[in-house]
Amino acid sequence: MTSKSTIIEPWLEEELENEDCALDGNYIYFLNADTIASSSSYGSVNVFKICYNENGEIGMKKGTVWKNIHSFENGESNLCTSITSYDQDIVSVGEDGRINLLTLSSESIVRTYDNADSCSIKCALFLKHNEILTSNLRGQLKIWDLQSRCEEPSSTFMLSGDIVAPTCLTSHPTHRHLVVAGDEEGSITIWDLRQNTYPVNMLRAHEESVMEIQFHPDYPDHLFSSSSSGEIWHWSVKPKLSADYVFDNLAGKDKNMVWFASDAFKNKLEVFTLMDKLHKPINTFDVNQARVLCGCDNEAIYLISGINLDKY
Amino acid sequence: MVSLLQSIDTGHEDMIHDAEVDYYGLRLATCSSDNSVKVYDIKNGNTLLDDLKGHFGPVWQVAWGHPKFGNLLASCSYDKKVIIWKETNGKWGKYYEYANHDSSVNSVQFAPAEFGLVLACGSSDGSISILSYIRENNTWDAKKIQNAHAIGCNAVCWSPAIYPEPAFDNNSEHTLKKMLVSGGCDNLVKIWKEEQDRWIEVCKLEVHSDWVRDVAWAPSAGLHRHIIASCSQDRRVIIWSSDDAITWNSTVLHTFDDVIWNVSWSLNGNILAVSGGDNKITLWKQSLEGNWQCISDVGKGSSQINN
Amino acid sequence: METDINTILIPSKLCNRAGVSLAWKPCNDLGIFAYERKHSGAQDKPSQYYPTSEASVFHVRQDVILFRPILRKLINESNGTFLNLQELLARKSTNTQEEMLNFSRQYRSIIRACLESLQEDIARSKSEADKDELQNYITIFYSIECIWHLCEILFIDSTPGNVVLPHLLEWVRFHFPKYERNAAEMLCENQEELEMKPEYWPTIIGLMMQGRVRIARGLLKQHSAADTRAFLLVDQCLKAMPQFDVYSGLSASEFHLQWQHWVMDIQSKIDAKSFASHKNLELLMKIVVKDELAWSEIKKHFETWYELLPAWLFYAEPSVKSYELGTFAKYCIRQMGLENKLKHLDTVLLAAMEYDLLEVIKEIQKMSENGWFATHLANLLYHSGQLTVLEKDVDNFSAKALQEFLIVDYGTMLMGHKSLWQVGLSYLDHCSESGIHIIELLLPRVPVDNEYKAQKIIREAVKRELHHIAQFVCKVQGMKCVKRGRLGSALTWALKSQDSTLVSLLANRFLKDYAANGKLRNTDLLFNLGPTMLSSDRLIFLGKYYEFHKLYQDRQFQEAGKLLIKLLESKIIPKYFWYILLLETIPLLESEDIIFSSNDTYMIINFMEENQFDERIKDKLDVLRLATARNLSRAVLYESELN
Repeated sequence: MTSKSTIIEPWLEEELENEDCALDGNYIYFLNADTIASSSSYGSVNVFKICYNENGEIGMKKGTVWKNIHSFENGESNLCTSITSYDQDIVSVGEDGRINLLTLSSESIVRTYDNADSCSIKCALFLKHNEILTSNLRGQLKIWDLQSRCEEPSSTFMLSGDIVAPTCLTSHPTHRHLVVAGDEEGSITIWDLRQNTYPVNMLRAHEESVMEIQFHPDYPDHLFSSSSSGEIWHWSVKPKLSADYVFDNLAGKDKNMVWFASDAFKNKLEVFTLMDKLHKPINTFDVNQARVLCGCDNEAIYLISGINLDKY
Repeated sequence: MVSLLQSIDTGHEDMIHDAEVDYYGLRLATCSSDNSVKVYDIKNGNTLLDDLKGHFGPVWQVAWGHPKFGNLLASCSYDKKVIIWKETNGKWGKYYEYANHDSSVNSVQFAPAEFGLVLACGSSDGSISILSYIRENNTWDAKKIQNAHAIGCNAVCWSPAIYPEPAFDNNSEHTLKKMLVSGGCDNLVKIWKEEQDRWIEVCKLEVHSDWVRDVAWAPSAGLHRHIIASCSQDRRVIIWSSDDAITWNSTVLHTFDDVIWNVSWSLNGNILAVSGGDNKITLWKQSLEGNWQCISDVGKGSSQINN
Repeated sequence: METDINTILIPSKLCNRAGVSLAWKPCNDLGIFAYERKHSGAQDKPSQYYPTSEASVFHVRQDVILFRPILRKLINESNGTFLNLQELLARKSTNTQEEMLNFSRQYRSIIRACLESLQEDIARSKSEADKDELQNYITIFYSIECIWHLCEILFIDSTPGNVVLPHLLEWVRFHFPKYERNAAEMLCENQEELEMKPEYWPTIIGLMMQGRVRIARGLLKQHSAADTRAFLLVDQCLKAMPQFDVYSGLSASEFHLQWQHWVMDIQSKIDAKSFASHKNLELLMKIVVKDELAWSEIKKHFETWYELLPAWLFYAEPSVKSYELGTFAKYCIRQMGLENKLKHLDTVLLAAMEYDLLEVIKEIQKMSENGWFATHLANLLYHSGQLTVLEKDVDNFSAKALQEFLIVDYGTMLMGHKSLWQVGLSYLDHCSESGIHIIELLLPRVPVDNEYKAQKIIREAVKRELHHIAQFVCKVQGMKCVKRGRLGSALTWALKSQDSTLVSLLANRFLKDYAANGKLRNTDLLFNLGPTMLSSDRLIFLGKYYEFHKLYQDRQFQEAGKLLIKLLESKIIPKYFWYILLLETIPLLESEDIIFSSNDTYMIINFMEENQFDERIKDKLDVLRLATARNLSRAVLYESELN
């Protein structure tokens, strides 16, 4: 089921040996089309700008660095585990259970929640300009109101009854209240945060841990997921339903949107594999237009272009 | 090609008697005739983490505990004592001291973690002590094998934790048997086994014609076969192999030009390092046909290093 | 001892004077230090070297060129191919020669890509040292490519009838491409008087040596004298050259007849001096008829004996069988005068042509690319059945053991690298017996830099059903979190490790912290403990106590009271905590509604009296007694009313 016009171009990850900005595939995040934020093992967050030289070769220019904004009380260095952004605002979270609110225009920290979580925070996601969602090692999800003075989350809920940690979070580009999480066991869980904090859907998806999930920013009928077993999948709404969805949407009935549909949800989706299964985890990826860029544990970055986003 | 990466200046004032790298290869512990034990961070810049003072005589050997039990280090000394050190917040302190030997303690080694927190010590008084930590009441229990080796025990080494092969042992419980090998001044290599709270001699291996200086039980790569290397003043290294740990076959690895002091196995037991009085370390590997071949040779000093 | 062992010298005078000993460092590194065995019964006095400032430990390691970034792509991509091959084998028992050939070509294309990137790098590099190093790699991988290709021809791509020459010609064209390249350039240029170029004739001869007769003819036609009689005659002769093709239906003897006839025809033309006007044309024709003088003249065109071999065979033994190759190879070596000057590459190629596979594998193990080549080639040959064949001829030889032996070494080496350990694992997975046990020894020793890495190690352990290793990693993570003051994370890891002692220890830390400060911290963690709570009595108590707290805060006093009694009844109260429970009863005893029944109250009283001499409740004892007495009377009255 590989989509046809896909071109895969692997190349060795550019190694930045500089201690301050080791891009060791920990976490890379597209702030916008030409700016990347990455986390390093030394508790820092770095911004890189992508630039092209006169030969058309790609390069990276180092931007703002927030040094050592995540650390343990015994001074050990610590990993910033996730970054999320909303316009100029950036939030970083770490194993130290801290949430840092940053802004692109300043090198100082805007706000810090020192003891946001007694556990390591694994993922963070902006829901609104003033609201973020975090998830921890134990599988707890917390919603934080950034404008509130309170240092406590405005709500807390669980991924499942067991200790299963979400490995990635994302939200629907236009319906921000629609939140999707991938977890250690390969499942994908969907919530509608407007209604309540119980999941509306759960899919047993990948064989192993889900590493990243993203909706296509422009075509939210398309969802992408990668796994530690080396799969990268493209989920799309079946053609007929897609038309229905458009129709319903015109009628203002977005409740019928397929991601919320609980009955026979799976039958409404089609899954394509974007690349032959790799033998190593696909740690991270990002989608832009008809291209997917992914970083894998075989020390390579793959650019997959020509993703089929036809609206049928 | 083999190359020298770096050297770590330990700052000991006298000879180093032993150096051991911890479980993950991140820290190095050394002990010396200057009575001290030192711990270095060898991952970041070889910095000295702590200088452990507590012995009043040359410290012969150090051993790292399994990380499952926290950060533990054991040392044994000419001062007849064994000290177990524990790290808390970066500093090492005495956790337990054992002073029940009548002479120099020459060898210490922690048992494989599967056996629990257990330590064996061999002493010049001829006995071997086995110290076990009792979790329930936070105490150490000591068992002693008296007269293990006449004139003195030079080295002790634990067997890897191997579950008996199910095919041979269908009815009995699959319990781990604690076993030890020791070498001493009586020219013997002995195998010991714990049997209902007592340590008994399984067998006595007589081939060496002079003091046995070191013994090393190879880590098991799952083959239900035991391999032990022993070395001696008689300039020979002997490889002992057995299927049941009761009857052993011996092969002379090599007769060297000088006394052999140490033998040790690589982590997965496929390379044996031999060192001795001829200022050389040789590395040996068993070929597919079963022969032992010298694969590398690390020699004495001069400054001919191609880095 | 063998002669070709590596020796490394340690630059230390003390090592020289005393002696040396060593420590192993994961995976196969060594720490070497000056050492002298002291007689354990000797007197306690400083050694003869005291005081010394040379007590150093020297860190020695095998050089692994594969760990250089430029070669890592080779490691990772070949790993993909290796795993695809093993997956295919696992899926089906029989595999066609075509599939194996396909894999062999994949490996070769990986080597080619590697060579190309090395070449690009050498062009970019600025320092001489870098250039030398890269050139060294190019030499190594060029040899590998050359040997692999030959092995593919001889052992994997065997054509029917043992016909080998067409493949050999292809091989030699691939590795000595300059003639075809020159020809292509010359033909493209479409210039007049091509023969004025110095490489014109050498190219034509080279093409003829590689069996590229048609291209040679094409070049000859560009000669300004191409229309003269001699040229036309040569072209005619070459056009008539019989081609041996196993699929043509022509038997070997029939072909031989044709060939002989053709050679005789040319010989007669040479004898008739038909080409005498053109020295080069005559040389060409003399080569074709194996004229000894002509061959000795062109020998200078050949860089090596194995370039000569296919050329010689093409004209002397066009129907050569693969098993005859060794003899002819030796002949060519003699012709080039190289009998005693064979280099390593020559030895390996000769061994391959003599079909001595074991020798080939033994020799390629000596190449300094850390076993990459031997491992992958042996694995492929084993699965093509080529190694198993040898078991009949060689005593005590096991093909499976050989290839696993190589995989173990290669996998172990990769396990020692900070980012290639997963690749190492995937090789060790394919050594039936020892692999999993080596993984058991090495996987738990992979340093855990952060939780992300810990989760990776755990995943790899669980995938292989090494649950004890997963638990061990969780436990060590838990202990690390304690040191970092992250009790919440610590408890989570402890729960994952299923180590009830550690869980209890942590639950104690929470409770003691409360006993000391009067505030329950990390309540976000206690929320929703779920079934994990059952892993330790102490955690059950902590969980229940937290529940009690919440009920109390929510002013659900009845429920809070019931829970409190349950806790008092249970045998899981920590010694240091019971007095807190007792004190917590006071407000409930004194509340407006009756919360404790008479029986409950008796229990509290008993509990209190049992511990009345305890220091911690001494000053509260009166208050407690009063409260219990009041509550008892209220409860008894109330209960009697009910009855």
